Amino acid sequence: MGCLFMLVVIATGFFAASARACGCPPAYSYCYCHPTWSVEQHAVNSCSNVPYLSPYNDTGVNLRLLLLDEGLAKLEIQPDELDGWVNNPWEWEEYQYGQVPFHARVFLKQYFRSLDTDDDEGGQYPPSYESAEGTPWITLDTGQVAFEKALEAAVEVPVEERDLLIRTRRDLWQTLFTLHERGESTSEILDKTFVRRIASPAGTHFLAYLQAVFAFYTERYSEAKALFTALQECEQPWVRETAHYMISRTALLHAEWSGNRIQQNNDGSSYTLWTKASIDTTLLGEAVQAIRGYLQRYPSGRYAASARGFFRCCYSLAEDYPALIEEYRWQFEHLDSAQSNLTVSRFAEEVPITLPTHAQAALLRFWLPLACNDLYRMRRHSDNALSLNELQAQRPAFIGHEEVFEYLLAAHHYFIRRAPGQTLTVLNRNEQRSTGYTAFSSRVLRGLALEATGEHRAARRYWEKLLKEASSQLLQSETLQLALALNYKQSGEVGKAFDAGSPIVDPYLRNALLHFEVTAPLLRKIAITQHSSVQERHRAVFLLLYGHLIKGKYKAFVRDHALLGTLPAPPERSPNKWCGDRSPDVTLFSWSGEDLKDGLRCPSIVKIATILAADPQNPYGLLCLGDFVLFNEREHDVIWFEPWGIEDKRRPSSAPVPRLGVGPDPIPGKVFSRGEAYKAVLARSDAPPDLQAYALHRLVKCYAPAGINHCGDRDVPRAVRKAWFTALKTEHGRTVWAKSLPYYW
Amino acid sequence: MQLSLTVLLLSAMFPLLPCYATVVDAEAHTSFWLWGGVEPQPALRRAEHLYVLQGYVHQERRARGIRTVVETQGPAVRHMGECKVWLVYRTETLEWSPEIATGIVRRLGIWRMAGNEVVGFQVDHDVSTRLLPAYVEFLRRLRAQVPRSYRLSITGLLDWSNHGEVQALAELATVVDEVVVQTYQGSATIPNYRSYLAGLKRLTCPYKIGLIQHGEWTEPAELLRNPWFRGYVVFLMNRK
Repeated sequence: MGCLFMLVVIATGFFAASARACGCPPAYSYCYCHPTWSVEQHAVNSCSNVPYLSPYNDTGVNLRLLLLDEGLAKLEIQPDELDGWVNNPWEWEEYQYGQVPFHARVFLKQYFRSLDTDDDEGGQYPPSYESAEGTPWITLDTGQVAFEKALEAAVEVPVEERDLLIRTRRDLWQTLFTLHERGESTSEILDKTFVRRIASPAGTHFLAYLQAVFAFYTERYSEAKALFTALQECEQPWVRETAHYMISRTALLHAEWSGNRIQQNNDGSSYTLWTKASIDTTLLGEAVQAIRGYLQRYPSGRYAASARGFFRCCYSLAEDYPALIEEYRWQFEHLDSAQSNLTVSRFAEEVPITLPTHAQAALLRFWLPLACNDLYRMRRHSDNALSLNELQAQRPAFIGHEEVFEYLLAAHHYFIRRAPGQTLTVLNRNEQRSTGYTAFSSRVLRGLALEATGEHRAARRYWEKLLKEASSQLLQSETLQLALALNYKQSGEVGKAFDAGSPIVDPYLRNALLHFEVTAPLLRKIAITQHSSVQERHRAVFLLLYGHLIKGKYKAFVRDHALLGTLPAPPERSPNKWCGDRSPDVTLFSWSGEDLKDGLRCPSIVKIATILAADPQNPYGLLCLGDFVLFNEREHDVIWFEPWGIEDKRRPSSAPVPRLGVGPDPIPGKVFSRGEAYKAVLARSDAPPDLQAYALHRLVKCYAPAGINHCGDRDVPRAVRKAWFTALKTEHGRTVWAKSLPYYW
Repeated sequence: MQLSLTVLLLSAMFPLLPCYATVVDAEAHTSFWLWGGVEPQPALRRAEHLYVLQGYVHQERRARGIRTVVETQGPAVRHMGECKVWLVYRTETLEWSPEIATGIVRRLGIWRMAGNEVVGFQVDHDVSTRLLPAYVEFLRRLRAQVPRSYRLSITGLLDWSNHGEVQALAELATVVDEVVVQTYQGSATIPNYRSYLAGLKRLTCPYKIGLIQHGEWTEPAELLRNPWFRGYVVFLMNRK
């Protein structure tokens, strides 16, 4: 059992609840994470991480990339409904993930598999505590199991005594809780239970142990320590060894507990404050001694790994970083030892959390966290920026890992000094031949530096060449494909991604291009191209027709509607269990409003578009288009309006890196808003009265059921809604639209 | 016809009025969420209610399939002072085994034994409005597994009260003792939170409003008049 410290766990998105409403409509802000489609990252963002060593990656991701290179782990890319990618291009939606970039948590918890753990244990981890506090309770159940097993094996204990002891240990929590509620003390209950009922020698040893355990779980550490110490020379072997181990555990918990201080408020009330500084260092010293004592006597003992793990707690509490880092290095180099309680996964979990970011001298002892820390300090706005001199002086620390060091030097030139020319010079000094992620990082950096120096043609040839060299390492090809796609975008040639033989084959990346970068003419071309996949052709037609319709390009819609007849049939699909079928469904464009009971009984959408193509302000056309949106919105649980969304999302950020989804909208135009359409009908003096009635009816209903406007136009105050309602009831009182509207909102 | 024109003119003349929002200051509040790693703040000393994170329930893929795991998180048990303590469990899944509830009951007891006035536990789960009925069922089952002496609180989304079915919201009110509606996500206030506030009138159980420290909040006039409104809870953040 080791204890874990979460030194600084700021409530970032990582730890806040993150879930997604189905379809993730932009009008709702509950799509917490979506990828930023860039290769070079611009800022820290756990929603978007990349599979090369980047200063803006989560430190845990960088660490794991290095562990992969050490041959200690592998990647298993799995779909993940919540934050990872959906394993079906048909189901992909606009704000969802492809494979690169990925959500940091998905990489840490799902993709990364250390080779030394049983898959079933995988990411399982001992409980974690804040700021080095531990409690006795982690072993409430496991301790009970061990105690029972030991008793069952101790044949010299009579059965009745054994059963009594086991029962008492099993009821430990309930007993203590009941005593607490009644305000009684433990010793009374133990005396009552045991007096004269435990008589055998072995039984009394287990009893004495149990008494120490009760003291332990009630935080009477001094008493527990004394009781365990008295059992160090006990005849019963299990009790002897376990008591000896428990001395060290009790000592450590005692030391941690000493960090508590009762503070007084002005009004006389009190609260407890725990700080590392308040810890009694003598107790810490005793804990270290106790651990050493146990390990000396039982170097391959039952609890050796757990006991050795306590060192890390002690050093962390004492802020003895040199000792802590040495201990991590020992663990890393002796993962198979009987005294190691770290698996590769747990090592990867602990190191980023427990190691300080400012203990530079101590970090020099261990290249692995040093490399991660260097990358961390290469972030823009770092309060502890890494200078080139300091980095160069670290060379000796990386003996045996020169590849990593050379990459860090190049990265420094690129990310901190923003000198892509020099980055290339450094990289050219060392041609990377291996296929690991460190070598891949160098390759990516070279490409980025070429782009940054304006050598886009050379960069293109470079990315294409790399893509031709097949890599067996996961996620590398997707990164290169994204880089190439961004290169195409830069020169306005996104269409090349969809040419026959294009190296951009990742269907999710291609979907992202369709949604974010592809113009109407190109969508049309893709829709009719035989070598495009069925999914892509459907998606292209959907985006094309939807784009035309929603941006008021009615003539184009009518013309391109004919494409529907050229599409191959979609395959059988099983709907997503949470959200239903989310694939682009072109049958939408065969919609007709004739059967709708509470609509205008509109014709087919093609007919509606034809009317609007002739007269874009035609009242009937506008109202019917409104019905089309309204009724399909309900059907598909999608909000189609982004009056505040599109322009904001496409605006390049202040320090741009090449990215999909920023820049001019490939299908320009003002988005259709039902509210605007209804208001336009009202404003038309020649609109027939029943249409005006319907417009009023719908306008009032825009604010149902809670006064929130669902029609995509500017909100109006309640007085205006009331006026609409009144107008409807007075001027059009006989219509069904007036009669079916009982109130306004 | 005349009236319609007037109506139209009116709607053009009344664009959204500017609002002056205030920054959420912990010192002005007395109920807080406390996650792990948050440095002690003076505001904690006057806390009346503390919602303390204790666990994170989620599913993980294993060789033999998907498993629900409970990851212990948040501050370790200690005496928090004179305030009322709620233990918070974040969850991403409703596939809970009975042991999870047992574990929660135990942990509630452990905090009590440390001398705290433990009033209940809170389930922190984002669920889309469409799935509310299923969530209510889950909560009903969970409620039955935890002694009534502990109250049940849940976090809520602004969207629920706006689009949730009347039925689902009414049933929610019979299962939980309070809903804390969150106006933030991640580490920031939801940008258009104001447009959702009118919908809070549809809640018929005691509710609080969750704010994020250093975030934004403008109290709407009608809020204090609402008989179900029970005050604010502030999510504490370390200063960046």
